[in-house]
Amino acid sequence: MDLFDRLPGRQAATFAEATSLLDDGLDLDLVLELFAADAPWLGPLLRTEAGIVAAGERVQPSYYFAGALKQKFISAGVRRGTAATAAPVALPARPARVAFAAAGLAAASAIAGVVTFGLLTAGKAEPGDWDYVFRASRERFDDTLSRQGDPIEFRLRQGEARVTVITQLSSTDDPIDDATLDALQDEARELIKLAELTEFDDAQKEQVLQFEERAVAALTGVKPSANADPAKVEATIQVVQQAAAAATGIKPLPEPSPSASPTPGEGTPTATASETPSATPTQTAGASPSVAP
Amino acid sequence: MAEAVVEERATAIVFDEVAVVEGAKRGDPQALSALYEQYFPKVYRYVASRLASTEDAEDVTEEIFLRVLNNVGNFEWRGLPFGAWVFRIARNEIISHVRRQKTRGIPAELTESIADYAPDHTLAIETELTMVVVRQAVERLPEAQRQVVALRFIAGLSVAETAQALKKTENNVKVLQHKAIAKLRLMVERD
Repeated sequence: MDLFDRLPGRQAATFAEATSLLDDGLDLDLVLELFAADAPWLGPLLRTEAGIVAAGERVQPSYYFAGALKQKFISAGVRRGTAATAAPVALPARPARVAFAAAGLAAASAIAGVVTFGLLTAGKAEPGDWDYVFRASRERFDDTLSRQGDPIEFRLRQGEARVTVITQLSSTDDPIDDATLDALQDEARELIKLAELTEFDDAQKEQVLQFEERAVAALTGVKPSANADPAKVEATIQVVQQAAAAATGIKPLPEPSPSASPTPGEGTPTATASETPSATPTQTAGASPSVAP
Repeated sequence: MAEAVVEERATAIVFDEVAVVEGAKRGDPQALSALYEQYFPKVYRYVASRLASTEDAEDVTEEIFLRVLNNVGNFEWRGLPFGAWVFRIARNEIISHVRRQKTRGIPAELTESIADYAPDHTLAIETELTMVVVRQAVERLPEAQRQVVALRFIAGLSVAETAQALKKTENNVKVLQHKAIAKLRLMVERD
């Protein structure tokens, strides 16, 4: 505004001074005496101005209007003042508080966004993925729900999901940690518990067998590069097989183990020479004297 | 009439604007009364100088004071006198009223809220005639000069108050008032 402000000309400045004196209550003739040199042009202007001022001062509102509006104004003002006093005082929004609230809101929005995105993308998450925690949480939630539904169906689905995770990790040469294997074992042990409580129908038995087949295939196919503990893998296979056996009543085929193989100490000469001399003539050299004439 | 003007000026001298406004915010009846007495005559004259109908002037004046009341709680002292704030409200309300009239294309409706019982009808007519001449002449001025004349000479604001109410510099107001009065003198003499 100052850029375009221009000083009034001499006549405008003189007129402003003269009108200010009139505002202060000085008489028109006295003012013109003070500005005697300018009286020829200033006099008509001041008389016009005085006429306008007089016209304005003669404009008076009716007493009724002035009084009624005053009463209305005061009563409304008192009501508002009373209401403002009684109303709870709102704390002023300070910049720090506003910034803190904005930051909190932004953080909450970000968390909600991450949770939503995580839940949406966690369907194929694997251990080690950022959103695997969402998958685990959802599974726990499903677990809770399953206790009111068919627990066998749910446990089989969970087991299949664990197997899928292992297959995916193995195919991409990603490490398979103990926790992943423990999760599959837990599902298998849950199946064992269920088998102790109830008898599986034929369809469920078939599902369990398919689950066992897939699990054993996935575990035996784990590549060495997956950095999985071989003993842990072997133990997981055994638990899965035990679950299938418990559910179907079909025991797994016995596997040769070091404890089942004959040991050299079991066919001792002294034990076999007296009871079954003819049965073990070739195994022990000491038996031949007893059968000799 | 002169006594009333002297009394008005005496009231202005003792008028503690800050105390009165703060009291009005709290709903103090005495402060509200002082505020009304201080600004009502000036506001009414200002409105009457811009609107031809007495009923319109009363309607708009009433609306202005209700707006003042509604917004006085939000008024903050930022170097602007309260009076300038009041007259900005008044100016805006007059503009809104004129726009509404133009939109409707009819004269303003008669108010029923506060009836006009002027005690002296002869005086009222004489005043109206006088103001008719002035108003007709003022209406032929450019808007800026019109506003300055209405606030400065009819409402009775000082140069500084007029400048603050119109968001202009005092120098600007001095130039505008000089030009306006010079033109009005020619118009009145010719008419």
